[in-house]
Amino acid sequence: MDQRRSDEPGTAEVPPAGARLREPIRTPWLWVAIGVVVLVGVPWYLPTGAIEPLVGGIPFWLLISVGATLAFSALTCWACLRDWNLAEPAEEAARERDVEVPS
Amino acid sequence: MNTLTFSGVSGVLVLAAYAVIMLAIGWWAGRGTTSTSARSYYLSGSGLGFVALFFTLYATQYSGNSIVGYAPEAYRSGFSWWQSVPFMVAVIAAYLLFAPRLYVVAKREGFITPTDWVRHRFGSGKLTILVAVLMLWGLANYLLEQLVAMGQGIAGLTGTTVPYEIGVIAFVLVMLAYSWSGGMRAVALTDVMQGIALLVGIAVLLFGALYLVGGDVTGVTTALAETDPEKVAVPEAATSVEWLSMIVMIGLGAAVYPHAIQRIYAARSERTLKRSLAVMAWMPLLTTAVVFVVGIVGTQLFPGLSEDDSEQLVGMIANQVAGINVVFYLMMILLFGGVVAAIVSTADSALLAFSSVVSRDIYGRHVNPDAPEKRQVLVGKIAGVVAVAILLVLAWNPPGTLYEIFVLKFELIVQLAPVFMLGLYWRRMASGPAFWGMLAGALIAGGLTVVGLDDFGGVPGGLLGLAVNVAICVFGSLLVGRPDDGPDEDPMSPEPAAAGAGRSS
Repeated sequence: MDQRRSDEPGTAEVPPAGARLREPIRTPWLWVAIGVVVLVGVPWYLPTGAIEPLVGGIPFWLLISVGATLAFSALTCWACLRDWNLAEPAEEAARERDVEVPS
Repeated sequence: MNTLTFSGVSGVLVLAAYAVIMLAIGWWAGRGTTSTSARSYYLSGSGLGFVALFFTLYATQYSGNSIVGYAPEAYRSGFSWWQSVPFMVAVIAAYLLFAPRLYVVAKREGFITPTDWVRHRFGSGKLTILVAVLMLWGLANYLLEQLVAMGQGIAGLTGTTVPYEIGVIAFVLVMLAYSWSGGMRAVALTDVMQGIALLVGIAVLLFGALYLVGGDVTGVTTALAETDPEKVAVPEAATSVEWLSMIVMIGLGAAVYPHAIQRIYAARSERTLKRSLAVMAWMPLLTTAVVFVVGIVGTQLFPGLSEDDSEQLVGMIANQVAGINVVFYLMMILLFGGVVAAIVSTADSALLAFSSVVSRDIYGRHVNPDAPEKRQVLVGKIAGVVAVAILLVLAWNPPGTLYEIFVLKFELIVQLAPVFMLGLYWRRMASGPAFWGMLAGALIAGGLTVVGLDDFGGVPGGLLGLAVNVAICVFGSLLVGRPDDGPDEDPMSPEPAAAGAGRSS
C-alpha cells in the first residue's frame, strides 16, 4: 500500500488549465445504454418456457443475458476510466509539484 | 454448510495459519496507525493505494455467502440465478451515480463517516439521527449474518475437532485484535490476503466441480434441460421482475452501505478510486458467475436435493472432490479457508463502519461533544466489541419471533440512497421531505417484511418503500424547498462550493 497521505481536508486544489473535467452523471447516453443492457439481460421479453435453440448446450436466452452482462461490465469500466475526471488533474498536478519541490 | 468429514486436524491447522497471518498483517499495519486521530484510524488517513483499495472493496463486497449461499441458489433456481452477476455489476454502476462528486466533497470537507455528508448537506437535524440509526441497524444485521456464517464455515472446516462456538470466538478475537490495533489500514491489508484467499477458493471449487463431471459443461446443461426443463427455460414473468428488482435494490443498497462509502473517503486519490472500481466492474464474472456454474454442475452431481439439503451443496462437492486424492484434498482445505477469510473480511469492514458511526455520529455529536478525538475513537472501539458480543448471543440464540426484523439489511439501507444520489445534485432537496421519505420507506420495507408481505409480483418490499421514499422527497421538496436550499456541490461550476456554508454547525 502506498503510504503517501492525500491532501489534508479543506485544501483547495486548482485543476491545471486545459484539463477537461468529466462526470459520468452528465453523460446521458451512458445511462440510456446501461438501462438498455440491463433490460436486454433480463429475459422478460421472451416467451416463458422457451429453451431452444441451444447453442453449445446453452439456451440462447442465457447467452443473450451473458452478452448483456459483459456489455454492462464494459460500460461501467469505461465510465470509471474515461468518463470520470473531476479531481485527478488537480491531484496529479499537486503530486508533480511535490516531486519537483521536495519539502 | 455441510460437515466436512475429511477435515478435522488439517482444517484446524489451516484456520490457525489464517489466524496467525491475519494477526501478523494486522500488527504490521497497525504500526503506522495512530488511534488519536479518527481520520487515521477509520480511513487509514485517506491513503489507500490501488492494491489495498481494490482488495478491500472486493473482500468487503463478496462474503462467504457469495460462495456457500449462491451455489445452492443456482442449484434451486437454475439459469435465472445468472442475475447474481448483473446485480453485482450494478453495485459499481450505482457508485458512478454519486461517488465521483462525493469523493471531491469528502476530500474538501474532511468527511469520516457517511453521516458527515448528510450533516453537511442537510444540517444537524433529525435526518442525520435517522440516517445513523438506519446505518447501525443495517450494519449490525450484516455483522450478525457474517457471525452466523462464520460459525457454519468453521464447523464445516473442522468437523467436530473444534467446538463450533470456540472456533467462532477465536476468529472474532483475531478480528477484534487487528481491527482494534490497526483500524482501516489493518482491515484493508488483511483484505488483500483474504481477497486472494477467496479468489483461490473459488478457482479450486470450479476446478473440482468440473473435474467431477469430466469438464463437460455442455453435457450438464443438456442433461438438465431433459430432467429439469424449468431450470433451463426462460423464467416466468414474476421471476424476471424479481431479477430486475434485485439489480436495482442490490445495486443501490450495496453502494450506499456505510463501509462502502467509507472506502470512497479512504481512497488515496481519484485515480486510485476509479481504477479500483473499473476492475471491480469485472469481478462478478470471476466470482458470482463461477459460483453460478458450480451450482448448475451440482444439479447433475447431486440431483433431487430438498431445499434444506441443497444448502449443503458446496460442502458435498468439496467432500467428493477431496476424496479424489491428496492434491484435491489440500485444494478443498484452501477453499474453506477462503470462505472463512471472506466472511471475516466482510465482518471486519462492517464492524469498523459500525464503530465509526457510534464514535463520531452518536457519542461525539450527541453524548459528549467535548470529548477529545482519542476518546471518541476509544468509545467506538469499545462499542464495536460490545456489539459483537451481543450479536454473538443473538447468532447462537436466534429469537423465535420477529426474526425477520433482525435480518433486514438491503431493504433498510437502500432507503439512504436518495440523500446521496439526489442530495448531491438537486439543491432544492429539503431535509424535511428527505426525513419523512426515508422514515416512510424504512417503515414500509420493515413492516412488509415483518408481516410476511415482502414480494409483490417479484418486487420486494424494500423497493416499494424506496419508491414511496423518492416520491415524498421529490414532491415534498418541490413544495417546501427553495432552488438554492443546498450548497452548490458542482465541481465543474465556475464558482467553487461554499465549504459547508455553515450548515454543519
